[in-house]
Amino acid sequence: MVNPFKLIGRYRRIKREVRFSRSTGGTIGIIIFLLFLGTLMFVPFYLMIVNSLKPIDEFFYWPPRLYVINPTTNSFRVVFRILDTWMVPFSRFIFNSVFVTTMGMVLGICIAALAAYPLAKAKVPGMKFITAVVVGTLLFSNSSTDFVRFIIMSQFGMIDTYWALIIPTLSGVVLVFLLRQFIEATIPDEILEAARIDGGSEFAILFQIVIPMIKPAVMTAVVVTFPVLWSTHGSGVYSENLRTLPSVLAQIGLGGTAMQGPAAAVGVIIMVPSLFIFLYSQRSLMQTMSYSGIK
Amino acid sequence: MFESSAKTKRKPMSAARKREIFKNWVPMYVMLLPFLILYFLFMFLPIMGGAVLSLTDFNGLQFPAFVGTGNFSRLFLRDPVFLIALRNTLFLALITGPSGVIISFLVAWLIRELHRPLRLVFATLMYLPALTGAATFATVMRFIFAADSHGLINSFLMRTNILIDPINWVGDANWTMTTVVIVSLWTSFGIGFLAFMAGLAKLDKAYYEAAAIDGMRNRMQELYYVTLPQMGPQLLFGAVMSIAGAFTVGLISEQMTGNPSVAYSTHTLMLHMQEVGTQRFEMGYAAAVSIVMFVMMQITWSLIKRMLKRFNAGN
Repeated sequence: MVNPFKLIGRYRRIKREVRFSRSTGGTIGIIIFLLFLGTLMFVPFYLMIVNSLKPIDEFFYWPPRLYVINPTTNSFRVVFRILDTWMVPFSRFIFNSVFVTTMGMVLGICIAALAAYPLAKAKVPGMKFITAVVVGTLLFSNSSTDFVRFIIMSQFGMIDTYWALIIPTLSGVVLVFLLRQFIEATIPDEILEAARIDGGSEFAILFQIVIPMIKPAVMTAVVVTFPVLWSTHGSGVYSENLRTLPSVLAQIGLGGTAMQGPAAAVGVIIMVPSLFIFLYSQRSLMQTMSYSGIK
Repeated sequence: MFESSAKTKRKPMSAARKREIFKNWVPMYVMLLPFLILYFLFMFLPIMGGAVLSLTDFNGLQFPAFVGTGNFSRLFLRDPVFLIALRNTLFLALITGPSGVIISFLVAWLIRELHRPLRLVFATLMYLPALTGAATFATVMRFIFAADSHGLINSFLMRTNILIDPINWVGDANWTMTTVVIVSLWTSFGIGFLAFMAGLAKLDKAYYEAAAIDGMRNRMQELYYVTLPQMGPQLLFGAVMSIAGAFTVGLISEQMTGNPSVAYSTHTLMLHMQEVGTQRFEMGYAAAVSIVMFVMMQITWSLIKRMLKRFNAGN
């Protein structure tokens, strides 16, 4: 059964897509400019893939080739062979990375969403002050306060545990600020008032109304946190069996000219999951956007 | 209806108000609690700890000895490397900061002008360097900017007879800064870019229709009169992230030219802090460097906030 209201909604959306005051020449100009810039951005990524597929002798050709003549997976095999001879089984590193990334992301976004809603909408004393503090702290990047944080984490016995890898992400204020700005800008107070009159508790309002409406922002948060957590090299973790995949891979990549191929292969291995997450979130970002407007 | 109004009448006003406050306030504070605890322990305490340490002489082992403003006077009067780092940081911030906001916003806006499949392609392309991660990105960049004739840029310039000998992009003090600037510009599209993309997608199309009916002529007018005034929150966010990034530059410089670089030609405050703190173990002194960094960021931030506010009010 087709819902007629949905059809009308779809018709309206199509109608809204009709743009005014657009010149074809301008669009072509934009595409040409973006193609130029996009090529520039694509070059490093392309070179990384090409280098990872080059056999070692092709690194010594002059002039250096921008393509592979005899592509080989040798570099990847070298990386995995080295991983096989490691003290700790390879699967342990994958588990560590996946665990740290998932926990960090889920906890981080949950805590940020919980804090962002009252900061954006609650008419309760103290919120303006805390928001100002959060905005002020945005300027303090993690790396500049690292060594004092290290001392505090060691007091809690968190050094050399998974916490040491996750805590810097959780205590950051970027996600809180990002979600707060979106909630404040995009969610009308009337909807929240209506829900309160219907007897919804604040938690129900947050999970049933606010979070579904800020899906694009949550997706943005995922895209932002994933590469950071996934490529964490983990200061504060010393045990071999707690190391993350990127920190082990980076060690393999250090090896001068002879290891240029494996270093590029390492780059590809680290990058592919980030790329997939981005593409996946991008798509749902576009989807959720068309549903998000309520008037 | 009648029952509820009768109930509220019967009860004394203050008690109802109290319960109202309790019902509305407590859940809000409970929601904030996890964040506040984490923030206090791992953000507020480290910052305050840094501020306290900056007034001491602390080597990480012995108890910090109070030296007052000694660290700061040493920074500005007796540390020439710090002054070089300060100058480099300001120079790099002047280039990477605005590019992080202005280029990101313009490109996000241009991408939104296109239709869906192209939008996805270009947004992904622009964000590729950020997805790669700085360390991995630098691996490729070292291949492009390699010092010998096998570097991509050198080999190109030598084949076209512009150069006879290769330029040492990463080891010649005359060129290292150029290299770092180019690589930094490559990574302009970060978190601000994403915020702009999402923000532009959220704008109300009705305003554009109204503007078109009111005689909006072209894209530029639309951008200036309709889009920009609505993008306040995103622009502010982009600005703050780009300031934080611009004043803590150093990772790219370290990856490309090493730390310390030749003749400290690409030394930045961030790298100076790391060198002093983790190699010389003068933690109090390192904390003083970080305080200088924060003061500079705060000043820039308040200037930019005022500028953006005036701009949004002007429209």
